[in-house]
Amino acid sequence: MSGMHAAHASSILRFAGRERALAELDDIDQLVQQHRARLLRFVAFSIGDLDIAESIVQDCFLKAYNARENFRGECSVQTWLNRIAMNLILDHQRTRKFRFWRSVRKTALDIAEIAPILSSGANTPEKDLLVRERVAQVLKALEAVSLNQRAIFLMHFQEEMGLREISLATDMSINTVKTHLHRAMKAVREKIGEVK
Amino acid sequence: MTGHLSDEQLSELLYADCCSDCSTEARRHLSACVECQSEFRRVRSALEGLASLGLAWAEQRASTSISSPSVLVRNWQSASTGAAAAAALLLAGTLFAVHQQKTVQAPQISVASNHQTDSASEVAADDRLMIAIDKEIRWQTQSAVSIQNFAVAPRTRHSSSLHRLTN
Repeated sequence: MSGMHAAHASSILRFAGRERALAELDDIDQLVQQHRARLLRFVAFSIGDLDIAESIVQDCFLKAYNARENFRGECSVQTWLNRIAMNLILDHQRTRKFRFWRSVRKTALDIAEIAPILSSGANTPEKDLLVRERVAQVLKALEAVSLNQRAIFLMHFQEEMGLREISLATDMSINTVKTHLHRAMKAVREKIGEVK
Repeated sequence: MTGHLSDEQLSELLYADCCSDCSTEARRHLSACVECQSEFRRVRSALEGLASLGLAWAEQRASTSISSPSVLVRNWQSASTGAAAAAALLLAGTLFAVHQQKTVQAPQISVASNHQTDSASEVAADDRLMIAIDKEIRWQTQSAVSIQNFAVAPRTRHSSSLHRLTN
């Protein structure tokens, strides 16, 4: 009996969550304002190309808006957006165009471009420099791992998504997610270890 | 626990900062092992730097570059459908107009050509008719004359004798 109540309460909560999420998805301006920066960060760091990242983020919002009725409310809007973005990244990676532009890397994400942002009043210049170097090493390490490993690592440590959320976003089992995450972590640890 | 923190344990500990969910064994080791503490701090500062730096960069980038998709882009599917329908209508209209123009021109051409062909045949027919009329007139004229001759012509000797016989 209590199980029935729990299931009923769960379905009510899911329904309420879905309604709230649908209202959020209906207002695309608000949606973009709220999620764009995080989504751009995730996509840009996943594929390492700014122009393609911006194009994917734009597509992602369009797809989410057009398919908002299909949102079942099983996860947060952020996770759903990450899932759409991940699919778009994979689609894009399959194209020859992406391979070509990846080889050219005209708009490649460069730590030198983003490093000046890091400078904060709280840290000393030496500490800033050290953190910048470590971030650069992390990015180098992530460049060397597979797209899945990189994306999962970023979802976990950048987007602060739990394993279950990543599993939903990537359509992988939790064990597979863990495996990718630990391989990426191994690569990152090795690379960071080079900076003392 | 043998050795130091594994990649898996370190991942859990780093993420546990956010959700406070981590194995007690790994926590205990971390609090006791200086080497792992140093490693933990190093990786955590790098990841925090990556997250904050990335977000600051993305926010800066997002505020300058892309706005939300315009209404036109949002309604691209319906707009494209409408455009396709409008194009189809325009094409159908153009084809209809061309067809109408052809059907209007066609009789003119056919009339003109018929006129040309008909004029020749008509001339021939007219000629035939004129000849026939002419013949008819001529025949009628001849007949009339003969009748006239019969009726009006002065009585001949034979007719006067005949008249005398009947009287």
